[in-house]
Amino acid sequence: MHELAVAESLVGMIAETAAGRRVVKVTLEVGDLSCVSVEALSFSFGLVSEGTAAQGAELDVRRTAGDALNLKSMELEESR
Amino acid sequence: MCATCGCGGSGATATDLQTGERHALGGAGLPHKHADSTWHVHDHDHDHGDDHGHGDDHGHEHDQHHHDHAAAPTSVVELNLRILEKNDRAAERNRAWFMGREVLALNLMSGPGAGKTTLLERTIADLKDRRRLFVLEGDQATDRDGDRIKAAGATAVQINTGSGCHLDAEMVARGLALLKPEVGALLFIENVGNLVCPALFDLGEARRVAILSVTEGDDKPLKYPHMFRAADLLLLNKIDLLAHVDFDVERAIERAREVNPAIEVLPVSARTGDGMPAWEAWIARAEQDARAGAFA
Repeated sequence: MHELAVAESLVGMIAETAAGRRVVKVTLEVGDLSCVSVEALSFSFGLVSEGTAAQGAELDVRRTAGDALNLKSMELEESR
Repeated sequence: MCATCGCGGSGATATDLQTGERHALGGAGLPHKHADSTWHVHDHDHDHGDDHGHGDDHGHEHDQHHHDHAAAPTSVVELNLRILEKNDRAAERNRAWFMGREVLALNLMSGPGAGKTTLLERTIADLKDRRRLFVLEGDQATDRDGDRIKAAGATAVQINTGSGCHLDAEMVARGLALLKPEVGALLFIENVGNLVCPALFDLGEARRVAILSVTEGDDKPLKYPHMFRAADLLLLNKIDLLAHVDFDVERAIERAREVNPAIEVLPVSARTGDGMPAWEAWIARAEQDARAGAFA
């Protein structure tokens, strides 16, 4: 269940970038050799993001070769 | 952590086994950022009833906000950041700390029961007359292993990760603050017994050592490739039991090299002491390399 720690780190980064704006979509790169299960990560993300800027955001996971484990981009609602 | 809201509270602690002092790691839970851009550390014994009491004072306003503006324009921010960047940064700080003090840090990883603690006890018994030895002992719960290590003659701090299945660089940093290894020390970091998770978290160590016991089966390198890919050295432990188990040493080495061609392999028995001199020579070599690297 190291995906929980990964999700915690991810949610922290998302909140920092979002700076209060609503997060619509989060795009990740998860490599086949990254040692991270996408299912467990999605589940953990749901738990950890509750009550944060990342709550309800769509998780778009792109599988890649290699050991990447990156936060690629974020789609944010524009602040008024 | 708290399974209801995910807001930390892993219950991790570090215990100085010389004084018996116990410190909470990360306080009441891992601090994390909320929608209002302030950091919160939640109490982990807060009420988790249906009213979800702790959330009422923050973080829920944006719910209404996004219902009102469901069609609001959006923009995409390219980030390309490593998700474990925070851990990696903390690991780099640890690495610099070790380098500045000429401390050789070894991260020992294996499944539960592979004999990490027995191996350490034996290593400490062999080396303690020549030098002071320091151990950061990671387990989910209890001081049992830390007490064994201390009895063997090393200075030890026990880190209990609570629900956590691995040590991370921040826990190691907090443990080091209590352990205070001296200049030129040899430091063993005994990770939580787990063949999967610890492989992902850099602690700032100079070398990673995976331990596989012959009672576990020679197919483990293929079944848990990440651990063996991450390791510099594989210790095949409990070779005194080879006559009683179906474990082919050559096949295990082949499989480990299949996932990591550069991995070194040493067969040992922490119980009988077989192979221990080769392991201790490996440590001395790693130490020389680290020192040469620090002054390069």
